[in-house]
Amino acid sequence: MRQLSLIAALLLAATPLAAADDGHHHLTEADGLRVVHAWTPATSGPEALIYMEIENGSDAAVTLTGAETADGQRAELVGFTYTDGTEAWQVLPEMPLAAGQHLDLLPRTLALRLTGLATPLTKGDKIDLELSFSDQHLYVHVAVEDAGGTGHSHAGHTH
Amino acid sequence: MDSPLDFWAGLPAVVQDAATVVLLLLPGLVTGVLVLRGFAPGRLVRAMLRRFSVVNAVFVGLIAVSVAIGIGLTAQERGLRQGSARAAAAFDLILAAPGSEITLMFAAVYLQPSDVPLLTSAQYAEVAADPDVAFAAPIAFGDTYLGAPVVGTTAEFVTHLAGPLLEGQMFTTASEAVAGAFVPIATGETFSPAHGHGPAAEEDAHHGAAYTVTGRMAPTGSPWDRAILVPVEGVWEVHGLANGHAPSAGNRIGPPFDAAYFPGTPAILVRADALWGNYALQSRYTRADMMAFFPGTVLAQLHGLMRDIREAMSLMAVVTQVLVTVSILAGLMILTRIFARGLALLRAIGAGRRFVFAVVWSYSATLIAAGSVIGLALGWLAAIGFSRVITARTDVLVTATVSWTEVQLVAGFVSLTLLLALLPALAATRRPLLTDLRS
Repeated sequence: MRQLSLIAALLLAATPLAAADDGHHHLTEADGLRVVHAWTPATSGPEALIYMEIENGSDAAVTLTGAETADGQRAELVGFTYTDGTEAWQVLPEMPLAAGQHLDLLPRTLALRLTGLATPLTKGDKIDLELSFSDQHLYVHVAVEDAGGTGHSHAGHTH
Repeated sequence: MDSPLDFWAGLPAVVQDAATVVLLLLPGLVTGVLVLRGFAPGRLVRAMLRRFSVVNAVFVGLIAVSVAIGIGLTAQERGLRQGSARAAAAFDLILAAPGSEITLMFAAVYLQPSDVPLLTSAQYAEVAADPDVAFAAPIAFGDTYLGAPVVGTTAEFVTHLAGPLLEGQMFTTASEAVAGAFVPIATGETFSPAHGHGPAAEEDAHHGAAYTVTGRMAPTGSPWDRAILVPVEGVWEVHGLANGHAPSAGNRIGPPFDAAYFPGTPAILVRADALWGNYALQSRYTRADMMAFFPGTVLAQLHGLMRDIREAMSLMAVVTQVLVTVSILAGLMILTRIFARGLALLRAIGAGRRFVFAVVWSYSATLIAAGSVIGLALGWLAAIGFSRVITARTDVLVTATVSWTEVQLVAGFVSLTLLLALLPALAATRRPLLTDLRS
């Protein structure tokens, strides 16, 4: 019995930050950090821009520094710029998020940029992404929406 | 080893553009080399051009106009897009009461008249006290003077927008003003603002209130060049409101404002120093009682919608060019009939079919090349002319220039038409020799 308890405890410990999932994969929550409606438009090239809503419900500031896919591809945080009528994304090394604040990663505003995709993403696909917040890590499911989509298919739903 | 695509992506932009032009011209140039190999039909072609100079001029003119339409459209659209983006460049992040971002952007950035709700003193105080905000400037519009918007703000905003003043000094009291670069009012002049704008403006609404112009801003290439900037305290005072400071503060202007005496502002320009700051602030102040937006993002969305119109216009330009090309080819077919006797004589005295082919193709190629080069120049001139008209009407500095895109468009057109010019050349060599000699 003691061995079973130990195994159970080890399994729980191995689960990153005991992340909670709402069953629809639209919400991930751990230690007060909530990530909702992670999505990306379907792609035709090797690059994807990932959007989501992040809430820091904890009582400590955290810093978003980037993300990584399950197969080790790094996603960098990028901010939209519009200079001389040309759209571009500048790399942001980090994004602090104070306690109680929210951060929306939105098209033409802020995103996580995934490069080097081996195959294009098609609507209905899912990407497993590990977000890096200071010394915490949060696992989210990124839904692939229409190529011309402007939001998660469940955006507006409360979770 | 890098793939060809990686190698291409690693090249400087100018090399990519120049290489694209060469690649587009290559089919036409290779055709020319193959057709002219071993021949020098220059003198004969010059004689043909002189012989029918009026007809040739009409063909060249048609090609030039069709090319110019395409060039003018693409150059103008790009100039307008770049000009409107540059005009908004100084507006990092705009905060306002919830509503239409587009309406607010046109009001705060392009100074288009609009009635919008005000942000409260508490909201302004919260934003101004935010540790991530490097500076927050109220933008209070609604008054005009002889059609020029009179905008209440801070001295810091004036410097942020246009840099050091072109002449004179910054306003230091609530009754002083700084004029935009092209406002027809001299430094030292005094004026009384009207309430509102256009024909409905109430000229006497602020009777007794006056501003004295103390300086002039450098040009910004935006509608702010036609605006008059005054301390926001002045705007509040002429409307009979508190002036943002406690009575004990005397005549002071500028931040910090006293929330108890802050009447409200339609918009706040916010700027952060940190690279991530503006993005964090945009998220922070997007909430039920306030909206925060990047004018660049709104503009990019608008330009994205315009992209469809631009593509439709470009398609129309291409269709025009194709129609003109078809007309020219038909015309060249007819011209070869006119030249038929001369070409038949040429063959009768020993010239081969290939030489005749080279002569006719060279003749067509000369018309196409001349029309395209003239069209490129005409398109550039047309773009400059239209830019001046748009700048005068919108106060947004539009500078349309011919870029690699236009040169590539012309290169593609030239190459395609040089290939199509093989058809009339072929037709000329297929004509019955004896019939043409007798004609």
